[in-house]
Amino acid sequence: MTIFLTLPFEILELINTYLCPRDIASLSLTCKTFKDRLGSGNQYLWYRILRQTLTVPKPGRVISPKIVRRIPNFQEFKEDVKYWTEASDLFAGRKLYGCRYCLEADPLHRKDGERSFAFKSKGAVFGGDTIQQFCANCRRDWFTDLKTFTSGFPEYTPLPKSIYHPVYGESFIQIPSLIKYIESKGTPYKTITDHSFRFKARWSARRDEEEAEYIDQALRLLRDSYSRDYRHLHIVLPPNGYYNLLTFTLYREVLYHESGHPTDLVVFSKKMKNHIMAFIPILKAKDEINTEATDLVVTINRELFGDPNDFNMMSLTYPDSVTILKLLEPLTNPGQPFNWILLYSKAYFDSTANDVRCYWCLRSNGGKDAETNRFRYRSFISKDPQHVPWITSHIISHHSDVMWTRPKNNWVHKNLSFHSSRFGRSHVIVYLDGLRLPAAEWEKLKVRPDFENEALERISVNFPGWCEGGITPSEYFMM
Amino acid sequence: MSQIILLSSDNVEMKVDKEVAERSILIKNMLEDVGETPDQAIPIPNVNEGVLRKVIEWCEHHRNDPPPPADEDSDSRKKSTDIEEWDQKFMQVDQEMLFEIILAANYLDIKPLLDVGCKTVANMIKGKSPEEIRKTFNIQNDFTPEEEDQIRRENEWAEE
Repeated sequence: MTIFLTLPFEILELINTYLCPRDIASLSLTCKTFKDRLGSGNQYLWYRILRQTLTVPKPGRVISPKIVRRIPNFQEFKEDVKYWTEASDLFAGRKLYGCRYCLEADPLHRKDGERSFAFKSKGAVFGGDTIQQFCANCRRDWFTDLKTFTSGFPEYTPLPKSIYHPVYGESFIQIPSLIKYIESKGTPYKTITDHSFRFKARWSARRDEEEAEYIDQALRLLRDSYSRDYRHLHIVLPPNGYYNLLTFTLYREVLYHESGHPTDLVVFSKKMKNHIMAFIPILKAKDEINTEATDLVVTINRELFGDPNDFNMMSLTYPDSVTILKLLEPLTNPGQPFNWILLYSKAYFDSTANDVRCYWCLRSNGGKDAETNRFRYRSFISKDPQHVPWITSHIISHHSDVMWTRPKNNWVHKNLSFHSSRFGRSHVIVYLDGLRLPAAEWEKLKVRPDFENEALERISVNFPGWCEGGITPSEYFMM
Repeated sequence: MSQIILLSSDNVEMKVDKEVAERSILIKNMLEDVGETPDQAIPIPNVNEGVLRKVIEWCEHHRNDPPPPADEDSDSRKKSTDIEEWDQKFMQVDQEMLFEIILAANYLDIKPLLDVGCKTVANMIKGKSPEEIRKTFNIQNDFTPEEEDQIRRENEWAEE
């Protein structure tokens, strides 16, 4: 007997936390042992699964109202409720307007009483007799269409007819059968999905192989450089920030290359090198944002990434590339790591003429800042240096999720002394002494309703010259 | 760096750095209770040599990892099953070994290793039909045809 069947229950439980209810159900149907342990024989497990799935809110998702009506059943365990049956009913129910896989309704398309899923119409799907209902997310995990597949794996098309969906044809191709098909051709699927492999395959199909090799090398250079120098940034970067940073990294590799000329950077094609060389003097002469810099970024990106459909071009044409270069400069000097103040780039606090608005608040409220906490303090917040502590505390108290990993010690600037500063999920408000927040403002800060019951901690920081005059807001936020 | 000796269930002694061994909360607590680095070998009765070596290999690689956040909601469903590249390679072992590692991690109380093991198993189950799961784990289908028929009718949602 396989050892799998005899695992202690708590380990089985742990494995279950990584599975969808439907996977657990599949597992329970494999043999008698699992049927007793995970199937209808274990009502309490299914009560827990349903309660977890249905009563724990997930941001941005809506559960179908028909399902919501059943939730009271799942608030506490009742002997007489058959949870397994409930689950099978919920996940397979034909009139429940929920995703069959995850039970969620699609918030974008949901209208009460109307089905909102890809599989609106009837029809036997994949040999079953149940009408398929998948939400967009599960659909993405399970299906692809011919166009997408062809762009990713040009060398594997045309596909045999048997892979196509019997009713929907090439618009719904089941991913597992694709994997089987690809592997039958002799290449393990894992290798194929490797970024490098896919990129080269796609690029060679459209342009030429040598170029694909170059560009792939460049991308790998960027990736390595990223993991070497900026890895700890990834949790604090805004969406697309990763790509921005890659762009910047490329800059740095070129601009700061020892010889001053990227000749020994074999990754660039001649054409690209010429492009870059033509722009470098301009870049070096100006340290402000300029159109040439932006153009260069666009050019490099176009050369590197080619197809704007594959990568978001807007995210790559970073208007502040040059300033970011300055910002990240400390990183390039070993032994002088920057600290998390870096968080306050423009991406986080989008500055308008009179005030600063929090990127994360805006984001979580779909751009409607009137509903955010920040709105109430708009008049108070400005780009003045003394408001930085407030911004700091705002990020920590409201958006700790974007920075939940506590910076490691070596992040912290050697000139800064942080006393028991625990950044992350706790609500410690950090006050940066060195910023000379007027005493009155500090008192105000302490009595803000938002900060009740939260510890205020003083942190002694010495920023030489940081708050002196002559620093532009942009530079300021870039520190 | 002080070293301690671990004794596997099949009586093989292994020298490890104390720091590495302390990835195991069990050993860590044990050492704290003892107070000083013991001279004799610490017996690990539930784990044989092969598995213990594997576990130590993992601990060596992860010796400098920060402790996992304690306040993580352990009951949250649908956790990500992404596994680090090194760990993925590490887990490329036969199934018996995989489960042995999971059991050892559980016994020795090495939460991150336990998580990686469970994720690996979860990834082997994800998206598969009962028949495919049986094949993967070599599980004997012990339902009678009638039972199976009834189950299939009851559970069409889990069948593809």
